[in-house]
Amino acid sequence: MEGNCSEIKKLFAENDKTIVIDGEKKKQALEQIRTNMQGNASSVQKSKWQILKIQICYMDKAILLMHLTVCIGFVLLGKWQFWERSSTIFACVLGALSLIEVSHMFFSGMTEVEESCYFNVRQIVVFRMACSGIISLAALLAALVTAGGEEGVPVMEMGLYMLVPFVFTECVCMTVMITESGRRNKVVLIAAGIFSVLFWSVLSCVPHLYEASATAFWGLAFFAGMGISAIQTKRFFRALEKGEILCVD
Amino acid sequence: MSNKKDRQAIVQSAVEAYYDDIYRFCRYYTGNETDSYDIAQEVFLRFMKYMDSCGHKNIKGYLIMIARNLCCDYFRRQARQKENTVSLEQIAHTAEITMDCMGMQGKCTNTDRSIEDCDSWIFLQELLQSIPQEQREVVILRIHDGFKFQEISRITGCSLSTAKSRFRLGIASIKKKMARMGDYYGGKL
Repeated sequence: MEGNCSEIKKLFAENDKTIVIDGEKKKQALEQIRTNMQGNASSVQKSKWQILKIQICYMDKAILLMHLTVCIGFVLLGKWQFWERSSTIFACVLGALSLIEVSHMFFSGMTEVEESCYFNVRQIVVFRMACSGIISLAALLAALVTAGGEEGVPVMEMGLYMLVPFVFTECVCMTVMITESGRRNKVVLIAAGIFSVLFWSVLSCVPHLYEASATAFWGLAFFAGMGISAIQTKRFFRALEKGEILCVD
Repeated sequence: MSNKKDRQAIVQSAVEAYYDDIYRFCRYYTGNETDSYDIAQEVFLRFMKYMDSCGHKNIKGYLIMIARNLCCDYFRRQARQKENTVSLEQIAHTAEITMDCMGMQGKCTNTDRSIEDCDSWIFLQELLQSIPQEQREVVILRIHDGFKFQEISRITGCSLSTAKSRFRLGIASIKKKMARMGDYYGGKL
């Protein structure tokens, strides 16, 4: 494959000779490292409240609003017919939205914020995940209570019908986010979310899926989903710490 | 890597051993002297920050990975700025390459460059900047830094076959461009 690259190699070699590295700059880099090591970087420490405040300002309001709208729609779902099927699909949509909301920080210049303010990226991601997760779970809980109270729907079953697709959609989206194309292209992530919603929409049409005898299946699926989700989250944070995700949009 | 002195010593030795390689990689990748120095410095600051979680046996590979990510960030920022100043930036970029080459920038150390060297630098930069970013990084990593495709795929976060096909496409484009530009640069290459 590279047998005919000698000309380009030669060109690189010629130019390598002419690139003179400024010793001053190298010294400056070393000095900066020493300063940082000694913890004298003046800009570094911000209080948790300050980080939180700035984070709220930087959050993408459009996605947040969309998320909230879906949540409200979901809560009102308690009054609908075919609640099992609808709750499965809505929970899926919520799962995808939660992850898209988190992923937005990789597409919206958060790295620049991290660079200039010395935020802890892990802190930022955890904050985002907590925010979107809390909103989604609050909506799931509210829908559960509404449906359980007003319609007399069995709470445990409904909880499973919501949480299983929610967790699985999060897993699918997170897998995509960890891959190269998912980090670069938001469309891939959105497509994964849509795919998951379609998949669960089809699955929700399977007969006998929402009968009491299928509860064991839902329970197993829930625990499997939680396990996969834990592994994916671990992988995600590992990639973050290594700097693989941090800088690439 | 638990105590501070050890950490400092590791980062310091990494700077001494790999600063030049990292700078050259950034220089070829971005084509900009000043920004390459900034990125090279930032690479080691990031390395210091993440060295505990570095599971790489190959330190140079890890540093290049950080450098590559920072360069991607750099291009993203450039693209945003470009939206407003496309034509002016084109002119400025060409002028910058020329000035950089002739050692006319503030602290540029390349004052002893001959016209031939200058031609060669402009020629290489034109070739590299003419191919897409994904192909450029693979070409630089393979030809200039001598990484294996396996390592390149790890650095760039793509599959082995993707790395190989990007390399193939990049080289094909460069060769075409070389044939077209060869005459302009007096058949020097």
